[in-house]
Amino acid sequence: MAGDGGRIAIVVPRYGEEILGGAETLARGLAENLVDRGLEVDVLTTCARDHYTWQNYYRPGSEIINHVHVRRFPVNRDRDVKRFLDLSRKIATHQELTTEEQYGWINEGVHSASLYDYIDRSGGLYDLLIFVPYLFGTTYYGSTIRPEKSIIWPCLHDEPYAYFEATRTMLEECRGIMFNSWPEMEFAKERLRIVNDGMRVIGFGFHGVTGVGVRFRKKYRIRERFIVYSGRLEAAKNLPLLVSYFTKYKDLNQNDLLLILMGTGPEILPRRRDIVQLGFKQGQEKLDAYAAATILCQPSVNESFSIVLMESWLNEVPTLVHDLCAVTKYHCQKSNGGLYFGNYEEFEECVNLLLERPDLRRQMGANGRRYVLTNYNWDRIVGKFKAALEVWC
Amino acid sequence: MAEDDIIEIRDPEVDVEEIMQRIRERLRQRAGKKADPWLPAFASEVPQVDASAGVFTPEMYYALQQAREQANKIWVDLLLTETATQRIPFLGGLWRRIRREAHNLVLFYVNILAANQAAFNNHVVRILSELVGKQEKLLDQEDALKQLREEIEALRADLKELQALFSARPE
Repeated sequence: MAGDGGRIAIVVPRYGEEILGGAETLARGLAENLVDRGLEVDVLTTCARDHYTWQNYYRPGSEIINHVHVRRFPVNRDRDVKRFLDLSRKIATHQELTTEEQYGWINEGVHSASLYDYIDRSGGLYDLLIFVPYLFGTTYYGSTIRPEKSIIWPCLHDEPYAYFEATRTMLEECRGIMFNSWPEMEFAKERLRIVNDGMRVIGFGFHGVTGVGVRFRKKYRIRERFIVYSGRLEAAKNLPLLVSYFTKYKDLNQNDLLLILMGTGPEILPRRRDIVQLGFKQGQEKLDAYAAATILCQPSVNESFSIVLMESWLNEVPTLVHDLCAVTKYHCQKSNGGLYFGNYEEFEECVNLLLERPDLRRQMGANGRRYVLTNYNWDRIVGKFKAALEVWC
Repeated sequence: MAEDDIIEIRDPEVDVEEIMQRIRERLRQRAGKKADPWLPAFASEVPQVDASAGVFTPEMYYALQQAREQANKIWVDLLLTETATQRIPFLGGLWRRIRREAHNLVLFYVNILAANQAAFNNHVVRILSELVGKQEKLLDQEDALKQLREEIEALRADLKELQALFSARPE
């Protein structure tokens, strides 16, 4: 075994500093922090940057990104996009797919023959191959090549793909499964009835960086109190629900509260003075927005971890999440840093309580920060990862 | 299998679960005060159905839970694939914008329909949840009734026995 924990390959369909999807961020964070702590890590990825077109954008071959050795392989160009979109629509409208259609959807997803060939020929160089997330072709196909060395890092939540026969087969035949949170693992065990002796909860790490709220308020000339939402502006994140609750709230409550949205996406939103769209923000500017916020709202019910929740807490801002999301509700209960709503009335009560009680807001924000720094610091996460390696290797 | 090793943040001043209980209790009381005899009480929120009661099959509870969760998930997102025309310099960009706006316009109306459908779905789910809850209570009552009948039968038998003993006793 080379290095402290063996040589590891992280296989992810897209990789790079400008790629900001949840799973991609998790993959990059883990790779960089494992390398910084002396582990040997290669990232195996494709040349794609856009996860809609999957066009080859980067040059194939090797490069170093923040000390991490990255090997890129071209995406196959023989996809039947029409069939993929037809099946995706069927899934999105909750129509049942036959097993053949499920495999059809996977077959027409993103694949890279040269990546599979590399895993086949050179997979022996690695002690473990970690595939993230579960619903891409590179994970479904790649993990079948050396299942005895394959760990799936699924980023799983309750969605139709999770019930695919191919998902069950993949999760049960691999060496182990790496979960982001305890409720995610419970979902796999209790709801999907997945059986695998190598299930471990690892999570994701954060450095204690914070933003400067005043800077954000000055730049955007915002004096009012505001709820911040950060993420894709799309129905899958339950944004229409937040917008409808917020507009109803403002119709019934005369106050200065704003809803500030950070992110891009296809959702069409009402044009109102109290809903501000800032577009996509990242890095320090995003942290500044969190620091300036009164409340962060994460209405999504499909989360396996929720990075935005942690980033908000690092800035000592309390959170408001949906009651039906087991993962975000779990974080709120364990941290005593956020509230949860199941209907409009609860949303209104929670918002008003947090607006009226700055002391409670401060205390919950501080609890949240302690929760993140205690549980999700990189030393602890890498420690958990190394303990899991002893089981998997 | 490892236990959940997350370190909880205990705060003597802030207990999120207690806060939520208080909020929910307050809302229940407020709903009770506002209750209009002409309006069904379940119109305000979807009643929770307790799957552990086990009166129906697990599939039935699961289907109901899914219906509750998916009642609102019918919004349509913008899904545009790139066409060869879009690669033409200048005109391609213009065409992309026109196409996107046209799709957005269609989606605007589709999502209005979706909102109406979601409202209808919510009513159906509420009714179904209410019916399942009521049926569970009825089945519970049926069990209790059966038990009471058996007790009455046993008491009648005891009474008969006592009467027989009593009448057999010499004056």
